[in-house]
Amino acid sequence: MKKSIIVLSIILIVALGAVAGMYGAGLLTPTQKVKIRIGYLTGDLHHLALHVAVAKNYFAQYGIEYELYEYINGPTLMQHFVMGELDFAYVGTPPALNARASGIGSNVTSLPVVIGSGNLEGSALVVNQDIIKNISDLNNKKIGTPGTGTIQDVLISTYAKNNNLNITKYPGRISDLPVQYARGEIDGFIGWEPYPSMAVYQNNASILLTSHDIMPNHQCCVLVVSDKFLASNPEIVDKMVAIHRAAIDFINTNPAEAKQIAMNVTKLPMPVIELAFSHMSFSKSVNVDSIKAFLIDMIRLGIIRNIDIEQVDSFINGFINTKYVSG
Amino acid sequence: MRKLYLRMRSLLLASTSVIIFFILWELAALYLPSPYFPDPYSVLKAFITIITVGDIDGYTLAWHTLMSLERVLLGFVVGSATGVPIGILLGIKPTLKNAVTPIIEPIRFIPPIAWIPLSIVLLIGMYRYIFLIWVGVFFPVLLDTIAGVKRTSITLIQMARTFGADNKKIITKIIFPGSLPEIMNGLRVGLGVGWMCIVAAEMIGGEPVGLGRLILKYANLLQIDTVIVGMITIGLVGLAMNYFILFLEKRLFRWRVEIKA
Repeated sequence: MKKSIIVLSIILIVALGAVAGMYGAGLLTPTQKVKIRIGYLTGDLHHLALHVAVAKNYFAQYGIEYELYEYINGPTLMQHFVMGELDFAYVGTPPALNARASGIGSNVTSLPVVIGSGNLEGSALVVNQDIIKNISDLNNKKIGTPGTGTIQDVLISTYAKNNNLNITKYPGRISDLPVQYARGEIDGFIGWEPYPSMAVYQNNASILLTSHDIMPNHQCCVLVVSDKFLASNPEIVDKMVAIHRAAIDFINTNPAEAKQIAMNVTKLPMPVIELAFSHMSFSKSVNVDSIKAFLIDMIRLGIIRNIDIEQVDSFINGFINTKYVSG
Repeated sequence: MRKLYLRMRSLLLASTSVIIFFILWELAALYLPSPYFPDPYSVLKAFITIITVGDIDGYTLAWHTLMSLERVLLGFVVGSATGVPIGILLGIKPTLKNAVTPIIEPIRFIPPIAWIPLSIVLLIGMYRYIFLIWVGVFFPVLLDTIAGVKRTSITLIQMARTFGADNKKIITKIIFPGSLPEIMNGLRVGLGVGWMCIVAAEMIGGEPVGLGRLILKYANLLQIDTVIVGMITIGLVGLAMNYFILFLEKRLFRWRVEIKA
């Protein structure tokens, strides 16, 4: 009796060991599809291509499984991106530039590579017109931004520097900026659409500057992929780029439906969406010159410390993947 | 002579552990191949830059520290000024304490950080910070004050009553002084919690200056050396505040056995 128990126990242990070994070697698991991880920003209409792709079921059509991760601003998103928590991201150009610069030369970080254009322009500075009537009135005023290192922060800092304006920047969550503006804590704010348009409709704010006024036709958000993911899964990147381009085409050919999708995503009324749309454009090609200009501005502002002005061209060559995007 | 020897030995031990800490940090930075784990020298350089030049918006470390200190001290004063009297009241009126316990106890467990969204929409600027610090300071002070009142000798109170002392005198001359050691302990804990709250509040609050904001600003820029500068400053200021209250405690309550030990 005792003997048979011992034999049975040995057989059981050996069997369990064999199963565990086969499982560990991947022999028992079915070939799994890669589930891509995509980051994007809270309520950002610049990332409409992503929302269109989700709404129109493009991912399923291309056989791609995905998970979405929402962040409060681009720099926060990129903190997660460089640590390898995301494969793709819709993000502003400056946070992506900074993330690449900060991790360059290291083989443990995931560096962003541009594979698509999210949108051009698309930010606005809204103010209380009773206090700020023209540009010179911005002097010594409190202007909210969605965070240090965001595209809006870089735009307003550069604008202030170029125009000798002394602006006190109040960095905060994008969703808090209209609230802080309405309560008079800040005299205005610069943000991504639809938040400026929201402040115009809901808080009686006026648009003093759009990002077009600050840097005409500038690249705003981009679709980036991790360099590691690009190297290991080029066929999935091809599909993602195709999905993204199809979504951009959809926005440009079906603006009414695209606005409806924007409404569903943001839960905002159509007039706000209409105004927001008037401040941005969706293009498949990137504005390389404006990306270079952002990089130079960021070096001059002290945001990027380890790249010299002379290295700008070579840096941009690595940053933009010309297989997927043209200038 | 022995006292001096012991003090020197203690100083030597403390210095050795600090040196070992820095050596371990340097080794970790050397072997951890991440651009986001700076070595002590990079942090020292960032320290010097932030002290002398300021951050990317021009605010120096001293300015960040002073703003955080101002906020935390204001909140601390309001938290203490409400926590101590309410604590004494609840300590001497057990019926009232039983009545408010169902309200106070659940609120006590809501962390100050959970109050931030509500404070953003309800309060402005400095009031927001004062409220958040108050949440952190009030409950430790309140609970320790109640405990202090309970520990007051009933014999002393009865004796005072026998000699004709009224309630006011009993509170001011017996209960309050008798509870002071516990109140002081509550203040020390409250100040520590308040200091932790201010950092969290500044990270979300939207003000451009403050140690919490400094950390978030540079985390956004992925410049971790300056993030560590902010963290070290928070630790050092917190430590200094703790020692200051311990020093006060030692001066005020020399008669306490626990203090002498």
